[in-house]
Amino acid sequence: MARKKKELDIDIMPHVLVPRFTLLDEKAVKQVLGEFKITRDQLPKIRMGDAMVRQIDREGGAVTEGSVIKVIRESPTAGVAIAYRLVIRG
Amino acid sequence: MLRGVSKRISEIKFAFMSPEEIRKISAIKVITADTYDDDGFPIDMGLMDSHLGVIEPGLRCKTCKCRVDECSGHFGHIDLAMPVIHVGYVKDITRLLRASCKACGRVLLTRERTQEYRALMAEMENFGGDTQDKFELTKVTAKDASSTPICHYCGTQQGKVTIDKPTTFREDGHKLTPKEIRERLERIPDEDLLPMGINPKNARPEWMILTALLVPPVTVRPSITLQSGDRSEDDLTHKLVDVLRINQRLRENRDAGAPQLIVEDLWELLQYHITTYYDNQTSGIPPARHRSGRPLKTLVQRLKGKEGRFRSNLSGKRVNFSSRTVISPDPLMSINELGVPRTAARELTIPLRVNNLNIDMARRLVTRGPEPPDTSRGYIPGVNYVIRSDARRIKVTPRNKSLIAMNLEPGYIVERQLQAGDIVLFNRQPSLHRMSMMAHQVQVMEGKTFRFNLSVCPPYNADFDGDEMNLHVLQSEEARVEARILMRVQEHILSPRFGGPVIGAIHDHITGAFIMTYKNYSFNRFDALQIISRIDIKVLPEADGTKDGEEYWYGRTLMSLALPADLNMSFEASICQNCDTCEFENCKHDAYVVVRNGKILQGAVDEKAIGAFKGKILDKMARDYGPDAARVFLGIATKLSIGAIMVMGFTTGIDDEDIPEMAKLQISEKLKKARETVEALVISYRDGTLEQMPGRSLEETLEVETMKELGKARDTAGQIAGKHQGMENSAVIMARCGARGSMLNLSQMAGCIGQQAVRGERISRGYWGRTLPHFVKEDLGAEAKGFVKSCYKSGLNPTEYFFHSMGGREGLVDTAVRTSRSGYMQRRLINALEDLKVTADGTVRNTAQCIIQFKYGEDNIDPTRSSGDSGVDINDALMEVLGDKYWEFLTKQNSKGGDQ
Repeated sequence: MARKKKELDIDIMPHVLVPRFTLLDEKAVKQVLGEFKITRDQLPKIRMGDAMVRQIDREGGAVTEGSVIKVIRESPTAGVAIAYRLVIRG
Repeated sequence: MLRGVSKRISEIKFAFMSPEEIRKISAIKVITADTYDDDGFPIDMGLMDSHLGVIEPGLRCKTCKCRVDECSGHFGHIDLAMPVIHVGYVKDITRLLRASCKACGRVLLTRERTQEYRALMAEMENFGGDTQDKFELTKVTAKDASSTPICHYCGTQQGKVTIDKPTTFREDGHKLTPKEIRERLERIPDEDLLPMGINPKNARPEWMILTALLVPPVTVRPSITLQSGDRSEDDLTHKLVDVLRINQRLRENRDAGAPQLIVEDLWELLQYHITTYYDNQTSGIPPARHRSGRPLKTLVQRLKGKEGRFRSNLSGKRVNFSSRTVISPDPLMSINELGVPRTAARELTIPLRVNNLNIDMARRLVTRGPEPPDTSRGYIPGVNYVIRSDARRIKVTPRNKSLIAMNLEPGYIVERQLQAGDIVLFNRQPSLHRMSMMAHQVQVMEGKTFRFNLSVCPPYNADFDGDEMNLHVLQSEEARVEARILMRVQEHILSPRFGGPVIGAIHDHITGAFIMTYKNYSFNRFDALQIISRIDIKVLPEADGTKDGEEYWYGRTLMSLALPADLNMSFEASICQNCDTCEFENCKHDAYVVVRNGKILQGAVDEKAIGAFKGKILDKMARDYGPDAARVFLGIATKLSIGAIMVMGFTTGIDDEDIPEMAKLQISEKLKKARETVEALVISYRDGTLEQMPGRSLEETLEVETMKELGKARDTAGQIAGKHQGMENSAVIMARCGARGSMLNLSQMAGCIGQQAVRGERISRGYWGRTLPHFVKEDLGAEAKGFVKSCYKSGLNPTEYFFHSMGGREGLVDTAVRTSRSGYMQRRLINALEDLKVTADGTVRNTAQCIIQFKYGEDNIDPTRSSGDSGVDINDALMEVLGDKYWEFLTKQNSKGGDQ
């Protein structure tokens, strides 16, 4: 039986290697999908079990399967790069 | 979701084949190990029975009554005398044996636990877990079950099942026969299979033990007839013959009531033959061999690996309309041309569809036949085949050519031979980047090699020491147009890897350009004309002055002929010494190149100007004036360079490394001193007075210090030698202008080779306490640990030579290891990235239209269409807009000494 992992109780957000994650509300999601003319399933995925996703969920973000998360990370080429990810099970 | 996908596989079912099913699809039961009778006809009930399909023309298949190409063959079967394990399922059999009760066959879990796992599996199914996930779950289930010592249902004590690779199972040391195993597997009830990852609707575990063997159709294992008339059978047939023979003997012995031992031996032999029939590389057993000693290629070998069906026949295929031969250089051709030998051109064809407008031309072509004689224009293309509207292919011969020409109709296809100007793809393996395959324009030539411009060597990574390259002739108009737009050589001058030119001047081109422009070299009228005669510009520019009543031209002036009239730029040349304060256009070393209005005013043109990978002028030409202008520029510049180097003469020899006796003494003095310093270090290490470096042990400190000291010594030796090798020295010219070689190479030839290293450390292995018996034990001095104080010119002493070979060997091994590793890495990357492309909206997507990257490279910048790291070259833009005003501003800034 797969053991349930003990929930980490540290804030990983401030770590240098962790990019900025924000949960998008439905309106913002619509806008993003419209911007790229895509449906949800065409977005890159992120697993529910991802440490950052779990943290957002813990902090009251109410992440469900199908939520979209915005990731802002530093980029060596562009300075700042924005990506969106669809939350999937796992 | 279906997006541009016309068909999508919704499900693949994997199942075991039951013995009943095998017998059902079997066209015939094979019982005889023989194949053909004396007359060469297939024996009934033999391995080549005509019920299994036909391979010989004229015969008909007895099952479907079809001829050779109509019948794809039918399976047969062999009834095995005793059951045998299928090697492919050994792992699953082990799992099942361990997880089920030896007596009642139930899974070794409580009813509740079984229920739990079944629920988990169902949940996974509902949420679309993939096969991998399910497999992981079954592994957990099995592990849980196999740790149970007593069955929950019947209370039987469980034994410990082990396997002797590859196919022998034991329980508490007793051998389990396949028969027993099969009985056990039969006992496992359907409801217990689901949590074990087996769907009882598709597969029963006892089917993993074979009682009937499927015999593939003869079309899968055709026999070949040699010229001598002998038949040679396929490896699979050979293997099946073995199986049949042993099966027969096993049955006879068993029925005759032979001793248990004999039956068991035969049974094991049958197991061996069937195992190797599936996989002849099963670990733990010797591979079955052909009479010649060659291992047989059985089922798994047919599919697996680089030579297997998938990688060799499905992912990659042999192609028509291609050609391969040795390559050789032709400096007079343009970079986008390709010299094709006549014999190859006569074989390679381009289809020409006949219509009302071109029918006359097509007739003329066909009338020439397959081998038209040369005209005043030289080679002209002929026609090898004509394809009629009914797809019938007719060979054109000198005899029937006029007849075919006459009968030509719109809708026919004429296969015209290659002619000058056709676009073809040219490629050199390994194809590591997109520049490994580029489109060239054909020039049909005498000789037997492919020829191309030397500037195209770097992208293909080709040289002419026997390299061969491939040519592919495009067969559709669309492909040709696409290649012409996207794949021509000039479109690839700028590399997407680093945004600079990958095609450019090399070796002598750079030397030539350098010596004609360095320090205002001037040519008289005769020499200038000699150089100019190589290019299309036939008028000498205005002379740069007169000396002794004779006009002269600067090499720069001649080189400027290659530049467009409005080119403005300035940059540091390759010979730049990186002085503390840069004097810009007043550079004493001629290392600051200034181009104003298409004239080279200052500086030497070298690798940084026109070289492959680094050429600044080339880069600007390709960006600002377009690929075609860059192509023309490269052609003119290299031809001028070659012209100059031939007029001026250039050679290098061993005397370029000559240095005066004085310098040699100085060098040996320095080296001696370094040696003494090292000695002193060793003594202080022994005394314990050596000061330990932070974070290092005493030994490491000594090593670092000596390495530093000896490295310094090598450098000073090189510097002393270099003092006597000025810019008049050919070897130095080549090294400094970037044509070939480096200053380090030179200092190793003239000065001192320096410390040899293996694994980044001084050489330490060999004998006990020393590297070679020539030294005292525990000698930590310079020579004893691989310092080579000689230079290549003077030669190495024996111990030095040995150490040098050690260092050299490491280098060779490293390259060998690196190529194989990077090759596999490349393969993985390509397989992962092959379907990605940048779409019109700047996103990177795969073929399912899923977004992989929201902006290409995160900044949406194409390195081949931008400049530098920032994407824009501000100086360049300002210069273009403000012109001379900005130039003056820059000059003023420079003279103020402010570095910008």
